[in-house]
Amino acid sequence: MVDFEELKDALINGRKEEAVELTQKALEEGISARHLISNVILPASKVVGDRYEHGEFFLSELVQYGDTLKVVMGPIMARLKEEIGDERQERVGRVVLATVKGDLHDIGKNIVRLFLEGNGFEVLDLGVDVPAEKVIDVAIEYNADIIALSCLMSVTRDGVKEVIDELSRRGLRSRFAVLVGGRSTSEKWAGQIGADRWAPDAVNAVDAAFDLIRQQS
Amino acid sequence: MGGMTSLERTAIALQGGQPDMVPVATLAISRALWEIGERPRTAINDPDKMAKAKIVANEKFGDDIVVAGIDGCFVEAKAMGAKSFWSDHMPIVDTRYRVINTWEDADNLSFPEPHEHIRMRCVIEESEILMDKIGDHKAIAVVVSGPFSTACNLMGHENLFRAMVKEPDEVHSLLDKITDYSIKYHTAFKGIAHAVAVLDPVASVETTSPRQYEEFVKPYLERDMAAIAGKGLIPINHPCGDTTGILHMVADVIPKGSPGAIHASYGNVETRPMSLKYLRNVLGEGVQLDPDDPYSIMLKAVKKEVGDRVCVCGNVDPITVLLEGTPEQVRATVRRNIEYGAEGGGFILMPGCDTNPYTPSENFRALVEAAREYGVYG
Ligand code: B12
Ligand SMILES: [Zn+2]
Repeated sequence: MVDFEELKDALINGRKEEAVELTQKALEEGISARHLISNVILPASKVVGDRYEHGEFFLSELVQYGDTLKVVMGPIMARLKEEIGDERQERVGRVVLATVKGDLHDIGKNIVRLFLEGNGFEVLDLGVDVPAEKVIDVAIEYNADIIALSCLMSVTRDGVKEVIDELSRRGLRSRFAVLVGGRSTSEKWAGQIGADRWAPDAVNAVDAAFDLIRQQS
Repeated sequence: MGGMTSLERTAIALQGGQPDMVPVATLAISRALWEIGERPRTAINDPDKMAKAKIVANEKFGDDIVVAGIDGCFVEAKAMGAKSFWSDHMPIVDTRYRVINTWEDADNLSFPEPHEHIRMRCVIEESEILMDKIGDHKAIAVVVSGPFSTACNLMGHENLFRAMVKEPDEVHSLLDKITDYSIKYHTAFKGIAHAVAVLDPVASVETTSPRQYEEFVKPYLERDMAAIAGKGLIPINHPCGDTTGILHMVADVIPKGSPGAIHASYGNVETRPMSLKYLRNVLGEGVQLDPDDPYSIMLKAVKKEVGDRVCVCGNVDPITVLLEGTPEQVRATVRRNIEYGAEGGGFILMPGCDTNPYTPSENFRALVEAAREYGVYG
């Protein structure tokens, strides 16, 4: 039997080969993809987020974790597909991700992308300083489920609100779930401007994205 | 006003001394262009307009330090081939386009002479004009980029932070080259600026661990700052964000025996558990926090820790206080800053980072007026 603690430890500390090996072994032993996600992947992500918050992990560790997650999630997603059956949809969810207009910070957004991709989401990253119209045009074209917006500065918060307002103006508000994050945003504020979810970090962003997809289907 | 000129006042503070009153800088940089009806887009490559804007803004707000340059954290990377795009504030490096994708790219970087690259040349000329027109009584500080942040601009942040773990030797060799080139540019300000502020915003502990700072940031900054000081320029180290766990190194890169300063937001005691822990370690568990002002109190800790070695700059929050606050809030924050930071000299009052161009004039004015009112040394 694969020891989940060992697998978590390999994940958290970026030991890629070991993590892949243990994951494959667990799947061979018949452990379900869902079980692995909720008992290994999500708890490991929580530990990583916590260590970052307390100054034990830094950007290198976050990037390494994101990389490890990506390779580990390959076999898990393949199994998940078998478990759900192909009849529904083959993808977890599609996300259009952008840092809002006027804002140039992208380190955190890129971490969020790594984490989302690592958990099987398809992510189209539009980069930084992206105007509302463009976010929406691309989301339509890409047939996205979620629009995820990053905003690091209090002065660029209007850029988030503009996307939501523009969606309503175009009668598209219910078509996309809007997920918001980045320093300078808060849960309260996200609620006030009509976003569907807010998350404080990349780990919770993944939880929130799963929730949003669940609510949509 | 007191008996000293802005330049004398600032120079004494940068040497760790106590002038007639606390020197103050507004850091109204891209905003200065608005004051002459320009925007960065229309004026950035016109040194005459840039210098004029800075002088007009300085006359309007009456602060002690005039900053040359605008896109300080990006100029070196642009000269080495990085692409940029426009935001409202300034042209910034687009890290989606990477100059360095392989180590071979790093071997083939181009290093144009500072006078031959348009951005470098324009900042040099702007600084020349400022020095010529007001440099006899105002302090002129030019903003440039630290080697580590330049490396990020060339490689993309994730790639650099991966490589530091997996290919440290290659990273060192890249940083070495970037440092050589940066020194060429930074020392070109000899005689045409008083101080060189090296911006290294990716080197704060929001991203870089103290161990990485010691290995990948400090040695290169040390070399850069020594060269800057060697030309009679005063180095200022700006790691931008949280300095918890790296503060001593941030101060140590200023060459021993040379005047110099550090400038950052130092950490947010409201949102960062490690900043609060640090503050309590230094000032004791009973330290009083200021509601709605997580930054000012950091000055007290920073001054206590490294104030004997370097001049400390800060720490009015550019967003919540200067941009979004009222003049009254600005005045109250200035008062706290001076209470925590000014004792014994070696302190310059300024925002914790570059300011937003939409900052209300009343707030810039309040910053300077309050500094004059509360900042007189008895
Ligand atoms: C590095 C940095 C820069 C770099 C950015 C490089 C880059 N390519 O990103 C540069 C030099 C370009 C920069 C520029 C500026 N910056 Co700056 N910068 C920072 C710094 C030091 C670190 C930010 C960071 O990357 N953190 C690490 C990442 C991993 O954390 P994160 O971004 O918070 O992301 C996490 C969560 O927020 C969340 N998340 C993020 N995005 C999303 C999205 C979704 C959908 C979800 C769910 C979650 C989520 O998950 C992430 C991972 O867990 C911060 C300081 C700080 N306290 O954050 C200042 C800071 C953000 N900058 C600030 C300012 C003022 C500026 C400038 C105006 C001035 C300047 N420094 O020149 C310019 C602005 C230019 C512009 N128009 O945007 C201020 C903003 C103040 C405010 N409250 O509004 C800060 C807070 C510094 C300060 N104390 O003054 N900056
Ligand atoms: Zn800064």
